[in-house]
Amino acid sequence: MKPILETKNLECSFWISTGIFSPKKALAAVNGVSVQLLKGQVLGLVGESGCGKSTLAKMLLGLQKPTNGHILFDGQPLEKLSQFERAARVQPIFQDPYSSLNPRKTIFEIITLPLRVHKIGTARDWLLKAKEMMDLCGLASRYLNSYPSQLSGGQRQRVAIARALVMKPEVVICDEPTSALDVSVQSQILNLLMELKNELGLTYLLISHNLAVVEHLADRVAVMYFGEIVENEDAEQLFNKPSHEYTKKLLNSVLVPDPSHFIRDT
Amino acid sequence: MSDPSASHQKLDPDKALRSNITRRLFRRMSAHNSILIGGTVLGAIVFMAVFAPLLAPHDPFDQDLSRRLLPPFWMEDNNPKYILGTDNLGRDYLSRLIYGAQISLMIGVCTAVLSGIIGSALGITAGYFGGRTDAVITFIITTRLSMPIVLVALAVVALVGGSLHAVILVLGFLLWDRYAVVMRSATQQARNMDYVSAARAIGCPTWRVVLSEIFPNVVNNLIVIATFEVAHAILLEASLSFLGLGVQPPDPSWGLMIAEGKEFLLFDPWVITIPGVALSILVLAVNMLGDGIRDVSAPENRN
Amino acid sequence: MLNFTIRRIILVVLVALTVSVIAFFLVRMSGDLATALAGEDANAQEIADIRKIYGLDRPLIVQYADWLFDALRGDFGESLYFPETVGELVAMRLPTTLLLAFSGLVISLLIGIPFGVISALKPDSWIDRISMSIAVAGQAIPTFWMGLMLMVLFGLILRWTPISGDETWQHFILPAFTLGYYSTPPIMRLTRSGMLEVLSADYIRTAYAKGLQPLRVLFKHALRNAVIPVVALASVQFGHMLSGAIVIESVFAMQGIGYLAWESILRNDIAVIQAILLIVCLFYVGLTFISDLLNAWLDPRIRVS
Repeated sequence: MKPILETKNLECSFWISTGIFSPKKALAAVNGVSVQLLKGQVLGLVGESGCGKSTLAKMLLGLQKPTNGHILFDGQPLEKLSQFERAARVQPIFQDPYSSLNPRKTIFEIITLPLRVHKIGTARDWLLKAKEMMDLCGLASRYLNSYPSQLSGGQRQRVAIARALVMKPEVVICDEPTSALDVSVQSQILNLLMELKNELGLTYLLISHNLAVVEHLADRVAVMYFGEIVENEDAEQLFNKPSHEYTKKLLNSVLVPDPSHFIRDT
Repeated sequence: MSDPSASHQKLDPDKALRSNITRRLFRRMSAHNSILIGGTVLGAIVFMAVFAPLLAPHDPFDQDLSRRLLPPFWMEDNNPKYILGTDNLGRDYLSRLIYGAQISLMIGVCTAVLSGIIGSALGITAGYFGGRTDAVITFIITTRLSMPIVLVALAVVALVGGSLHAVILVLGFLLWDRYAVVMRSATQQARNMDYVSAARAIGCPTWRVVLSEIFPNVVNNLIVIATFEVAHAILLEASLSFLGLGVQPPDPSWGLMIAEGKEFLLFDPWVITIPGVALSILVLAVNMLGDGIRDVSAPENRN
Repeated sequence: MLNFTIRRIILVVLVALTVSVIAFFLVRMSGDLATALAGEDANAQEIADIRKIYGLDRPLIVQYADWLFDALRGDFGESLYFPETVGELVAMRLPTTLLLAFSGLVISLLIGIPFGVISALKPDSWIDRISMSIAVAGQAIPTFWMGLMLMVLFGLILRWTPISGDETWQHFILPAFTLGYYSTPPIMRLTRSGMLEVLSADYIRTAYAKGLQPLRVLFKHALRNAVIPVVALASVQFGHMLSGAIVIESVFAMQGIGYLAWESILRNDIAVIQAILLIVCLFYVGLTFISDLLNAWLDPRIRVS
């Protein structure tokens, strides 16, 4: 089966100045990354902060130019696609619900922005579509003319999801979609994401530093360390029998609450 | 032995909470007060300027040396026909004062708009694109900040001849630095927000991202700065006209009126007092309005 | 810090050069120097001769380079109206202006800092409100008018100070106060906000908790940290005072370079205008440089941006 999204030796280097008289050094944020996303799959991408996950996501979204390597959509290189074509096929959901929505726009304006930019449909269509998406994402339609400041974190993330899905993209890049939310809301959003995936036939790249979330949702998992993929496995395989040293370290560093250890009453 | 806690408020949570609330309420109220008072006074002056032909009792250019330097109504020897007296050429002072408001306001607003456009364009461009563009624009700003405005304005006005338009153009092309600096940093902040990344990921063209996503979020700062720059321009025009290189006689610029009255400082100090007070009131009103708007919309910029 | 300083110096040199270009071309555009030199009744031939003699027929770039190199050696050319060379003129008048600006700065610091400190110690109290009101009112009053009013009040009516001129130190009182008054509000505000920030810091509370005398805490710890940004601001304000001196010197008839600049602008004395413009701009550049260094020393984040 051909992957719906694939990267081949993807690289992104930045120039760092090391002092006023020395030449600039190259720092590779993403170094030779080759991953594949099959349709309908959830690929989890884990790693510590600063390992290059976000840079990789930005390149897939067309927000950052790679310095080397290829990104292929259904076999087609990303450079060949216009920004509209690319936008119609891959959309993001960001981590911070407080900065991913423009505070000066209404929910309606935010959700329908893709339709308006791509000039899809008329104003009436937009209204119907907005209501449809809000329904799908579990948002009451009375929020249509509200501003983000009037919504809670969980609700805002639903708006972000609605916006990402309004054009029915094929791939959704979820960059830490629940890290900034309350624990109780996290599970709601994650369940919503899974429902939508099944209903709309989406493919997810799920970036997270929360291993529990990834274990719960992902079909395959890639582990990233200093810009490189050190392990790329079936989820079950990775969590039960990790092969790379780093993966083992990562899994071992997670603290698991163990109710059998209790503090004795004194 | 001194008790250090005596000079330092004891921590009473209720009291602290109450005084904090009253303090914040007071601040909010005074912001609204500032807007109210400043806005009303400014409104009155604008009204005066707009309806000058109807309000002025006499023609501000009408000279008659036989009635020169008549004192205003609160002094003896005054002529009730000329409430604020007459200047050294016999022109009615009240009428000149009223028409002078037109000049000050026109220059203030036009300059603020012109410099606002220039400065915001530079600042937003620098803040959004970063990199080399930012470096170049920052260099331009630094260069502009290294030049003394008054000196340069004087030199240029001497070049082109003094007039209302010359002053507006010269000041407009010089006073844009605050706009540029503030718009640049506000744009940089907005640029880092995820909603900008989301818009770009949607395929939004650059012009649309800047106008539709970024601009509404930085326009608050713009308004606050604009009010202060209006005041700045009004004062600068007064200085330039005072030095003879601004609005030219016989136009009733308040700064010019002060210059013309300088010779009579000794015996008729009211000649320069009146326009000076008018200028101070106008600028104070504008500043209060600006302070109030800033406190209400962007209180983090207080200092 | 060294890195930052070196980068800043390069920037400063570039800005200074740019500013010198602007100063040169701006003034040169104001009229044909040859015609001005030749005088009223000169005919075309005389003007052409003068052009040749003074090298005014060479390309502007060459003239600029010439002027710049001469200026760096202190030779600013000759005035159209004064017998002295421009260099001599400026050297004679500059001290007055520097003294005026410096006094103005000192006054603004002497008023601004104490009021700022007191306001910070008792925020939102009546004294805070009064000093803020004075600050706000001060920024609304045109400086030249204030100068005139003070001249009337203290010079004419009360006769406490001389009216105009610059012979004795008493002559500097009113002008310096007028000049300094405009800078007092920003200094007051910055001191106030700096002190407020410092006073609420944990290490101050620790000092109080240790039992130190509050006044001592104030001076030794709080003020020292709050004062650095004020010094940086003062540096920039000094530049503004040099600029404001133009107006104040005209009001009080003081023989400084501000007054000289005004006279020369009115009389199209190009060489003088160019020289003063260049010198004041260089002062600005230098003062901004100092201010930047101070701010960067205080806030390390600035060094890497």
